[in-house]
Amino acid sequence: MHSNLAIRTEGLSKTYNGTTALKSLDLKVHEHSIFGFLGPNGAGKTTTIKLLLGLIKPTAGGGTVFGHDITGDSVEIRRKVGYLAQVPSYYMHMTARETLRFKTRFYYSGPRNRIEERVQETLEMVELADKADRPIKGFSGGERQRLGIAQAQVHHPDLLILDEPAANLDPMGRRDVLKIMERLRKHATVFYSTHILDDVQRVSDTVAILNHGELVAQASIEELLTGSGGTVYSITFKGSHEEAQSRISAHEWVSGVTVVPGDLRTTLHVAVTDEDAAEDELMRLAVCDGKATVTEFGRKRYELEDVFVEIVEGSNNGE
Amino acid sequence: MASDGELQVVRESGWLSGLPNMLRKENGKWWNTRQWLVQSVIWILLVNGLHGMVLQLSNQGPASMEFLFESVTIFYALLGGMTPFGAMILTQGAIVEEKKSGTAEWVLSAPLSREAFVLSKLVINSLWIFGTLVLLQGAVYELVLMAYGMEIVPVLDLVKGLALHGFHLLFWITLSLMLGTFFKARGAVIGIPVLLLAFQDLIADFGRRYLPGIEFWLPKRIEEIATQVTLRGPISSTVPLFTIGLQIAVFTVIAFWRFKREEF
Repeated sequence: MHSNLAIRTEGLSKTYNGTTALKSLDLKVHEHSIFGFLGPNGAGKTTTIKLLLGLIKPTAGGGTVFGHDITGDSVEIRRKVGYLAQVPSYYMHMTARETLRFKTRFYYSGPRNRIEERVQETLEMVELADKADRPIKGFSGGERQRLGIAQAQVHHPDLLILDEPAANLDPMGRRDVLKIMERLRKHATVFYSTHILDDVQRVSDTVAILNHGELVAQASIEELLTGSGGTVYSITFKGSHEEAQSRISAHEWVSGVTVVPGDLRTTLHVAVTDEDAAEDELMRLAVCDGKATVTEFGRKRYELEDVFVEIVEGSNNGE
Repeated sequence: MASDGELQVVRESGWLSGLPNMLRKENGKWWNTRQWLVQSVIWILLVNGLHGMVLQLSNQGPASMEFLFESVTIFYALLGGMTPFGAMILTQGAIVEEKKSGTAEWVLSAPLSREAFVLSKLVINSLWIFGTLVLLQGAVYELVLMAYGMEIVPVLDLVKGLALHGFHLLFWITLSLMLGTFFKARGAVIGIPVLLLAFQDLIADFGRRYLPGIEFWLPKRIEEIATQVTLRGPISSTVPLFTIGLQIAVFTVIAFWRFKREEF
């Protein structure tokens, strides 16, 4: 039993008719974290989620959720988990209120009014209270997604597993979902898969990247962003940059220079091995001949998208 | 999990997990959508409507005992000939449709056992089918007889016969549910039982020549027993009660076994 781990998998694998969907996944998700699970389409994200919920069975390996075995204690796991599927499905003859009432009763019994209170507060949280008594078949994609989030957390689960929670939402809807996730972190662990890297960077504290069924990276957001290719400075020139580029490249503490041409300006990304030397000399080397004007200078901030593309492409090339 | 005052955490375990909630949901599908009313009307028109027409067109004196025997035989022929289709139609989508639409995946992400999922479909559909396609038809049948000034069938005899007819329908219900756990499309789930129902006589003929005893495994034999029980006539053989009961049990066990292995 790992008291501070919400999810732990060891060698978790799944094969469908000879095709490997997931290959020996070792994953650790700490309690009360927001864990972003990234990967291109078909990387094995949904397979992993379904394995954790007992919807499919592993071909090899195993795992635990709050210490419960994913194959033997699936019902116990599902008592503690709220799940939003990639394409949420509901009983179309039910209204949103009936759906939440139905879902709540898997977890709680008690006076009807208390169940209704819980349902009502959840409907208000996802701003569906005014549509609560309409049949779901008339709901838009965004409304269905909000209902999906509502049904996933109506029982206040310890772990929320969300498969592409913001996929069908407009920017406002996405923002609301992220807000809800941040609010829920106080009481629960959030494990979610997504393609929207901006969202991951905004709310997640840990990220795992899956490619072709294999885990290719798992780290905190900070580690992932800073640990990619050492320190890089970004210098933007107006005018000729060639001489400055030659001067900079000649120094042994410069490990590489990448030119990013623009319409009127050119940017150099300078990778360095000695940060102190770079801070002392780089700006001076850039401006000393007076032929070009430096309009921007600073440490390059990596975006998660850069890291993601680099890792996924690196793993593809390594095959 | 957060404490919830008066709300109590549900603690069903094993195969019972989620069963009460699923039973309530399945019942709601019949009751809240008024499916019970629609089915009641359809089958009253088909079974008792046709029976009433036969009475209307008959040349015999309605009060004769011979005619009552004929009426019972016609009533069971109509029940046996038509309501199995109803049972198949009403249960063919119960599991397949949930697999296709993704709702099975959704409910099984809650603390619901797979056994409870299948059991809820079996219990609630069987009860409502028995209520609307069997018991209600029996009650209306008696009213029709009264309306034609005939002596009614003794209630206990009719109930015994209807119970046997319900047993007959259970064969088709469990067969359809079992097929639903194997297939992903409705075609096979409805097609196989329809073919079996349509070719029962052919299979019986074939059996008489090449496979003696096979006719005892065909559900239509239950209908003959139900008619005889209602008429207090001699029952040729009780073997079909055991063979059909065995098949119902096998279909049910296979449905549980197969659904437990289903991947979503």
